[in-house]
Amino acid sequence: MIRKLMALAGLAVALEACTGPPPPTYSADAFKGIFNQNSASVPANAPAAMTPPVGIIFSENVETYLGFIKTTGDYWSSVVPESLKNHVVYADADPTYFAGQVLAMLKARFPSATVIHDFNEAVSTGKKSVVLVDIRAKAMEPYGDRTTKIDIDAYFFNARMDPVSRLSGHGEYKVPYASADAGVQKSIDAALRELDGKIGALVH
Amino acid sequence: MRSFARLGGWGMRSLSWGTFALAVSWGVAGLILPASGSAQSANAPTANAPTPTVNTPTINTPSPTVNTPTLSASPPTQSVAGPADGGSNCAKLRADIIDLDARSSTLPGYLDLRATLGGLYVRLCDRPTAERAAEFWYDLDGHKLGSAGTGRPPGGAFIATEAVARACATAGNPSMCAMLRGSTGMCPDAPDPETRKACVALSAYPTSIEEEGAPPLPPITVLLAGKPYQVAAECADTLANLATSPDIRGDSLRARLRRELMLDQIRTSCPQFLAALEGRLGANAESNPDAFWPALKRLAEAGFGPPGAASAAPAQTAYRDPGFQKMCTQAKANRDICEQRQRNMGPVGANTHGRSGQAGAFGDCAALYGAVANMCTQSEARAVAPPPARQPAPPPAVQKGQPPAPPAKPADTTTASRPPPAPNPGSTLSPQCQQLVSNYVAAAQANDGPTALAGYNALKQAGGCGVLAKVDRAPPAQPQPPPTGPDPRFATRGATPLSDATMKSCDDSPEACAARVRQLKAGTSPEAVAALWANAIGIGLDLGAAMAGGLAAGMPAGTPGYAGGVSGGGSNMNSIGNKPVRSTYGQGAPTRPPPPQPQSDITGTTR
Repeated sequence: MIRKLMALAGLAVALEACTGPPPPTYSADAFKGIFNQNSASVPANAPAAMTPPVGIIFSENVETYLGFIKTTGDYWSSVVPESLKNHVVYADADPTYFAGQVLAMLKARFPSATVIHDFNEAVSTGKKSVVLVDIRAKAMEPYGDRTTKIDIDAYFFNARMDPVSRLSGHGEYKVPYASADAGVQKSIDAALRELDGKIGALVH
Repeated sequence: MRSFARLGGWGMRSLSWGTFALAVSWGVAGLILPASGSAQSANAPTANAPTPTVNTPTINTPSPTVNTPTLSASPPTQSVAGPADGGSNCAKLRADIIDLDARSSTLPGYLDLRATLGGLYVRLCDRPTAERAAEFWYDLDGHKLGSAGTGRPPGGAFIATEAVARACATAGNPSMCAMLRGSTGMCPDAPDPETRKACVALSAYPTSIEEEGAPPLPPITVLLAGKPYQVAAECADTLANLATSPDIRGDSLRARLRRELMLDQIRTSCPQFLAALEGRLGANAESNPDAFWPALKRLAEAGFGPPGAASAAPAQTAYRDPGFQKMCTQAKANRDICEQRQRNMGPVGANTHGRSGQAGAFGDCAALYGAVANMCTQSEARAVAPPPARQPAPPPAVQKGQPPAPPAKPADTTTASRPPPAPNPGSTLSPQCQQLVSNYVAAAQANDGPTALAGYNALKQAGGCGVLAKVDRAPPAQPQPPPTGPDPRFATRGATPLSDATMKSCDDSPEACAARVRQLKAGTSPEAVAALWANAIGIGLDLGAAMAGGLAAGMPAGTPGYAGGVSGGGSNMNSIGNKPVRSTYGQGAPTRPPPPQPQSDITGTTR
C-alpha cells in the first residue's frame, strides 16, 4: 500500500515533468566535432543550391539531445512503476518522433538524401551536397518557465562541402498546469514547419 | 550433339532458339515477343512437356521466329513453327549469330550477351549431327525394324543405335533403357505413356556440361572505329569479362596478375585486334597498363563505337525503336520469371542441384534474358546520357629500346585477329600452371591472405609459370601514404550510437519510422491523456478499496482473553457501535469464566 502511495506521488511528479536529471548543455557551435569551422560564421537565410545525392549529418547536439531523453526516461522508469508510467509524456518525448519528422521533411525536399556519419563519408560515398541538422531544446520547468522550446537549424553545404546557408526553425509550447505532456511534439512540429517553409523559399 | 537430342524441356526450345531469334535483332523480338499481345503469356517461360527428337531437334514451343533480322520498328512476325532439322538448326543458329554480330555488336553490353549465347551454343550444339551414329527402330524383343527417320513402324518400341539396342535388349523396359543412354528419338511419337513421361523427366535438359568436341564458334565481327574486325570468341569473352568487372587499376599483385592473364588471352586469341585497340586508345597494354585497361573497359562497355558523340548513335537508334523497347521489357519479365522458376525447382534426382536438369534450363534462361536485359539497360543509359568526354590516354611510357605500339592496321575481315598459325609457346600456360594461377588469383580476389600466400608460394615453386616474374616484386617496406590527405576541414568524428540507433534506423526503414511517428502522435492524443487519467483514477479507487478492505481484513478476528475486542494496536471500533454484549457466554466466547464487570463505580452502582 505504501508503495502504491509512493507511486501515485511519483505519477504526480512525472505529470509535472518534475526535476530529473539535469538539463544538457548544448554547444553553441553546431559544427563541433564534425567540421572545423564555427557554425556562427555561416550566413543565415542565404539561398542555396543542393545537388543530389544529398547527405544528412546530425550534429553532436542531436546526440546530446538524444542522450538527455534517454537518461531522463531511464531515470523516471527507475522510480515510477510501470503501472503508473506516464505513457503520454514518454510518447511526447520519444526521439523517434524528431527523427521521423525531420527525415520526412528533408526527404520530401531532397529524395536522394540519406543519413551519413560525417563529411568523410559524404565524400567517399559521392555526395554532392550535405545538410547538417542541429537541435537545441529547452524542457519546460514545472516551477519556473513552463515553456518547452525547440530550435532546429539546418546548415547547407555545397558540392565543395562549403557551408553556404543556415536556416532555422523555432517552436515552443507553454505547458498548462495539469497537462499530461510537455509539448515536445508540438514544439518540434512548429520548428519544422518554419524550417520547411524557409527551405522551400531559399533552397533549390 | 549427345545432349541436343535430349533437349526435351522447355528450356531448350524457348531458350536457345527463342533467345537466338531474339538476339538476332530486337526487331526479331518475336522470339521473346509474340506477334500479338495476347500471346505474350504463352511465350513466357514454362516447363511444358517436351517433344524432342533424335536427329531433328524441334523448336515447336513457343513458335520460333526466323524472320529476317531487321531494325525496323514494326513488330516482329512469327513465320515458321514446328519441327525443324536439328543440324540445320545449329547451322542456322551459327548463321544468325554471325548476323547478330554484324548488326548488334556496337550495342553496349552486347559482348556479355554474346558470351552467354556462345556458351549455350557450345553446350547444345557441341557436336555436328553428322557424327552421330545411325539409330533404328526396334521392337520389344530387340529386333531392328528400320531407320529411325522413317516414322514409327508397327511394333516399334524404341529408337536406339545398334550398340545401345544390344545393351538394352535384355532390359525389362528397352525403351527406358535406351532413353537413359540418350536415345530420345522416340519421344515425338512415344510408344507408351511411361516413355512419354520419361521424355519429360529424364531428357528434359542436359545434366552435364561437356564442351569437348564443340565446333568452333564463329568469330565475332566487331566494328572498331568503323572498321570491322573478326574477333575470336575467346577474345570476346575476355573483353566481356573486362567490361563487366571493376576497373583494373593500381599496382597491386592482384591487379597485375589480372592484367597479365587478360593480356595473355587477348594477345593469343586476337593479336591484331589488340594492336588496333592500342592504336585507338593511344596506350600500350604492357607499358602503360593504367591508361590502357580502364580505357579499354570503357570502350568495351560502349560497344567499341566511334569516338565522340557518334558512339551513342547505335544505342540511340536502338533506344528509339519501339520494337527494341518492347523486347527489353519482355526480356526483363522473362528473366524474372525464369529466376523465380529456377528457385522453385527443387532437386530432382542426384544430378539436379538447381544448376542442371530443368532447373538448369531455367537458370540458363535467366542468365540469357538477364544478358539481354543488361544490354538493354546499358543501351538505354548510353542513349539518354550525354557522351562521355573522351579522356586522352596519357602517353605510353615507352622505355628505351622498346618500339612504340604499332598503329592499327586496316582490318582484314577474313583473317584479322585470328590466332597466329604458330602461337608463341611462351604465351600459353600449361594446365597445371593455369590451375596454380587460377587458385592464386581466386584467393587474392577473395582477400584470403593465407590462401593467397599459399598460392603465391605454390606458383613460385612451379617456377612462376612465366607470369609470376612479370608481376612479382618485393613488398613495399611500409604502406605508401595516400596521394592526397583528408580534407583538413573534416573533423574525425567519434561514434554516435544514439544517432545511429535513432536516425539511421529511421533512414533505413522510413515506413516503419512513419508508422512509429503515427503511434507517438496517437500516444499524446486526448484519448491517450484520457486513458492516462482513467488509469490514475482507477488505481486511486483501487487503492481506496484496498485500504478499506485491507484495514478490515487486517484486523485479527479475535484475541484470546477478549471477546469481540481488539488486541494490540488499532482503534477500538466498539466505541462507534452498539455496546458489545457483556457477561455472556455466547458463541465464540472464551472457555474461562467471564471477566469481571468493570462498570464504573462513579455512580455507585457497583456492587
